[in-house]
Order: sequence, then structure tokens, then C-alpha cells
Amino acid sequence: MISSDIIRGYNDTIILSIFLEEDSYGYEVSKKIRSITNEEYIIKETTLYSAFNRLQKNGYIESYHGEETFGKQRTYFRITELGKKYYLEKCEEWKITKSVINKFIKESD
Amino acid sequence: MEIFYNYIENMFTPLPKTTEIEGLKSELKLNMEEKYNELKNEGKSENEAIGIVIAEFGNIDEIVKEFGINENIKEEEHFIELTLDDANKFYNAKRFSSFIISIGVILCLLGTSLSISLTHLMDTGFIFLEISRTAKDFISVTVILMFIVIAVGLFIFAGVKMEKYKYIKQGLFSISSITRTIIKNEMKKNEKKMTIGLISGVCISILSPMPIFILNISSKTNGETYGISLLLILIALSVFLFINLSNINEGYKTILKEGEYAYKHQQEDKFIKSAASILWPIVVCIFLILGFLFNGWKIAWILFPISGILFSAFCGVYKSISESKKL
Repeated sequence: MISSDIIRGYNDTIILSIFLEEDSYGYEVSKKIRSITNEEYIIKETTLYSAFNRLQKNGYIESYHGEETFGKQRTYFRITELGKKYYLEKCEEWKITKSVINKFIKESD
Repeated sequence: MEIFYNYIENMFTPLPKTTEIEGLKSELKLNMEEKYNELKNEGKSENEAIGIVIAEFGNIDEIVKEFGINENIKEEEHFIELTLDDANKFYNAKRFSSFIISIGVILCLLGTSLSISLTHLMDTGFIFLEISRTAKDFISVTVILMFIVIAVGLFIFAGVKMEKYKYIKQGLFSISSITRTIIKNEMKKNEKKMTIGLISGVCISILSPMPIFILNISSKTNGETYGISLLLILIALSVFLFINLSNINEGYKTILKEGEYAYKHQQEDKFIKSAASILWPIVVCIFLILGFLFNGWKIAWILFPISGILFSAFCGVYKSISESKKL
């Protein structure tokens, strides 16, 4: 299990990539993250919803009401143009970060 | 599901109830339910599913930081945390010591009861006809004292047992939301026992004067004295039920700091406790004096209900005065 400290900087990026594929809602997002990473990263509910709030405040995603679960409205999210731009910036940032860190990691044979 | 509803409500207690937060709470509850249902469909048991949902839920601090709320730093934050294990140990210790105390109280009442009957038997000449007046008095007093000695021993034992949990009584601890939810669940399970204990205790104490009336009618000699002994036995029984059944959840309530254990009530209670610890010994003394010196047992017993009622009135007045002072 990855420590949440390490991944903290990229939670937003991860979630935005999910919305890039298609609109989704709370529980479905955490399920997708879990299956895409093969259970290596299980995002906590509190982390997830804090991120939703942050992304919305920054204008990277917007919410709307969709299907019902148990008689209650589900809140769906879709990514915005601003969000797509931000996502691409973060991808670039990661490529640089990755190459920097790799210089210090011993390659295992 | 109720358990998720309660879990979220508990977790969010330190936060203000704005529309934004309520909306978030609603989302989270929905999320937990959906996750739970999927886990059940995968074949997990109810407890496993609940455990996983709660374990993977996360920390309320993230939400606080994100929603930019200035959480009031309550004094609780600086206390040590009580684990579920500690809480259970405390609860079991409390139940055990309550049981011991109830035995002690019963012994006091039984001792008094026995002594009254013995005295009466001796007075009316059924037993020990030959021995002197002084010896008879000596026997009555000895019987009571023996019972009281054992009872006091038990009280001290119970007190010592609870000594190490003093910090819990004083409220110097904090508990996590998970522990809080689990304890509330346990308390609910005990509710039936509590009700049975309370009802039977009250009924028995209401019926306790019956022996006096019955014996009065049927017996030629003054059966009231034996009636009083029986009354004391019945009171002992009802006290036992009160202490052990209807107080089952006292330990848990202390930990949850609910009701009377809520922080603000503790100051008031200290005053009332000191008042009580002065009043009741005085009442018992008066009762014993009236009984032994004036043989007025039949009248004296009414002292207890009256003092009880007057003391409740006093407490009620004191509490309402202190409430209005605060406002």
C-alpha cells in the first residue's frame, strides 16, 4: 500500500485523469483508481472528497446531478477545459520529477 | 444504514452544520452504503464489509483542512486517547465494582433487618429468654456491626479497584470516532436489560411496604416489626436490581461523556456530591437513634423516603439556579 504522504501531490492529477475518460461520481472514482492500480493504491474517502472540493473550487471540474442511488441524487463530475490544461501541466511536471528521482535510485538487477 | 449514518454524524461533530457540510455528509453516507453493498455482493460478511468500509474511510482532519474550518481546539485534543480495549476494561471493572457495592448495600440492609427481627424476638421472649438485658442489646448491636464491617470492607475493595480509572471519571481522555460508534452500538444492545432492571426495581420498591400491612392484619402480636424487616429485604432486592441492571450502561456513559458526565455537569455534581455525603450519614444516624433509643422503627423508616424526596428537591433547585447563573 502506497503511503498517502507520497502520493499527496498527485491525487488531483489521478482524479482528473479518471474524468478525462468519462464523467463519474464519488464511489465509482475510488473503485476505478483501485482497479487501475491493481489495489496498489486505495484512496481514502476523506482524501477523495477533499480533492473533489479542491478541484471544484479551482474550476478544474464541475458538478451536476445524475442517477439516483437509494433514492438520493448522485453528484456527478465532469472535467473542464481549465482542468484539462492543469492535467497536462501536471503530466509534464511528473516526467521531470521522475527523471530527477531516478538519478538517485539504484537500479535493481 | 444506521451504523454509517451514526459514524458520519459522530465524525462530523466538531464541524459546523453548514449546507455545504451537510451535503458532503450526505454524499459520504451514500458512498459508504454503495461500497458496503458491493462488498456484500462479493461475498463478504456483514461485519467484514462494515469493517472494511470504516477502515478505508480516512481521517476527518483532511476534511477540516480542505474546508478551511477553524476547529475549536477543545481541551479534549490534548488528552491521551482511550482505546477500545481500555474502554472495555474500564466497563468491566465498573460492572464488577458496582456488583460488589450492591452486595455491600444489601449486607447493610440485611444486617439492619436481621437485627430488628432478632431484637424483637428477644424482647417478646421467643429466644434467649434467660440472658440479661445487656447481653440482648449486645447481640443486636453486634449483628448489625458485623454486617456493616463486611459491607464496608466490600466498599473499600470496590473503591480500590476503580482507583486506577480515576482519570476516566474525571474525564481526562479522548476517544476516536470509531470507538465512539462501537460503544454506542453496545449501549443499544443493553437497553432491554436496563428496562427490565428499572421496572422490576421500581415495582419491588413500591410493593415493599406490603409485608407490613399483611402482617398487621394477620398476626396478633405486633407483626409490624417483622414487616419492617421484610421491607428492608425487599428494598435490598430492588437496590440490587437498580445498581446492577439499570446502571449497566453507566460505564459506557462515563466514557462517552454523555448526559451527566458531560464536562459542564461535573462541577455542579461535585457540590451535590459533597452535600449528599453530609446529608445521608446524618439521616441514617437519626434513623438508628429513633429506632434503638425510642424503639420507633415503624415511624423511623419514613425518614428515608422523605429525605430522598427533599434531597431531590434540593438538587433540582440548585441545578436550576446554577443553570440560570450561567446564562
